[in-house]
Amino acid sequence: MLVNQFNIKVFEIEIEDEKSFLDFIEKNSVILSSYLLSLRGNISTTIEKSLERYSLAYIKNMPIKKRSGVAAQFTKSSTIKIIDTIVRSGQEIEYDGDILCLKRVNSGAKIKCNGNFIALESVDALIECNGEFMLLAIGKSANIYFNGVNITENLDDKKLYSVKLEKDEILIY
Amino acid sequence: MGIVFAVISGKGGVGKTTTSANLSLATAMEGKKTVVVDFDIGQRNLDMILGLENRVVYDITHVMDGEATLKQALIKDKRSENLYFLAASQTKDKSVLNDKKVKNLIDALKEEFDYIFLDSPAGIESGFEHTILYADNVIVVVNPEVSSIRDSDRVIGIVDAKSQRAKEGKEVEKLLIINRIDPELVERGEMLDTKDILEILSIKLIGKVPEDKNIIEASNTGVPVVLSDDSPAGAAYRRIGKRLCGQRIDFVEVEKPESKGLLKKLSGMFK
Repeated sequence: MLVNQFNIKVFEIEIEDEKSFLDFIEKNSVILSSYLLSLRGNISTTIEKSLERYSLAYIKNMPIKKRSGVAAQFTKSSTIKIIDTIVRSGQEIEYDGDILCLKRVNSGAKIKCNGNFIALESVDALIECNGEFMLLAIGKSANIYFNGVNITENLDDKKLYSVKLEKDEILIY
Repeated sequence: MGIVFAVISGKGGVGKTTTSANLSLATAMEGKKTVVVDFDIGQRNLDMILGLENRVVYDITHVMDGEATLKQALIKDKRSENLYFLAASQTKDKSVLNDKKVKNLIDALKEEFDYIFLDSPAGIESGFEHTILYADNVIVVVNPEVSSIRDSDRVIGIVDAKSQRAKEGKEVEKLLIINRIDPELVERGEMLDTKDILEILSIKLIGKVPEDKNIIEASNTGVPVVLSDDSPAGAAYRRIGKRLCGQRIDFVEVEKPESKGLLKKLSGMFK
């Protein structure tokens, strides 16, 4: 038996009219992509299509329905950004593809990528990775989000971890 | 041409001004013609720590605005023939600084002096940015605790992004001083050790200064500890001054002062 514990952050949205909801989704799709949406109200096919287009995971009327294609879309991202300097406190890096950090990522920094994340030295910052896998070792003040799920508590200090997304499950080795 | 050192820390109260005062005296004692400039416009302290507050007539803003010449505003320290001091304004605030004025001032100082120390204000606002703008080197002062380390990490990042040398694609040398190391706390493992700090900041260590009660009295009386023979912090600053002048001086384990070790051994004998 395989048991996974998820700490999921959820946006709860009451749909009143289709147009304003679609506008909201369009404007905030980047932020929303790292959260689970819990929708109430009338969900039309247009809304469903729009949610799918932005690859947002959502549930309606409680039963968890996570899109099965989440992993597939990230396979396409092949651009990689290599960061060969220390990422210091106060620096913020956002990138659509993969990120490879050759040096430390210090406390107070922030890195967000929609691809995979690999760090060769210790990570002490806020990381938001929406890719298929991460490879990293964390320090005491790290805060790690993987596809919207905070997995920091599942990681011990200073050990090297590989974190993978497989069939909607997060596997940590 | 002189070399410009900006003394920075990010966090306040870690000992920037004390370090500026002591290091400038130390390099002056090594024979370098040195000037120390207080860049903390509106909150000047360096004059008091150097014991020169009653000799300030003109300050940095008078020089920048052309109301006084550099020669008129520079105060010569009587304790060392090589040390001069330029005070910050106490009545104005940091908005009086601009890039051009700062550049003119620093260019003029570089003509006159070997070593130029700029005592930066705490924080990361415009006053700080002007201090690092034309620096060749920065001296980063930290205390061995997490908040000081994070703040200095932040200011190192800003130096790398915003200083003139960085904009020209050149490296700004960053030198680390770990200040106020308390041997007792180190022994109990309550302070970050040097290895961890160097790992996080990864810049070059140039000295470690122990916590020293003499510092408070030195600040109150305006006689920096570097002038005193029996102050451990003063000895540490003299070593750093020598290193800044290119001498090879071995690092001393300030975490374990010998006198304390001896006392402990003695008290151990009578138990």
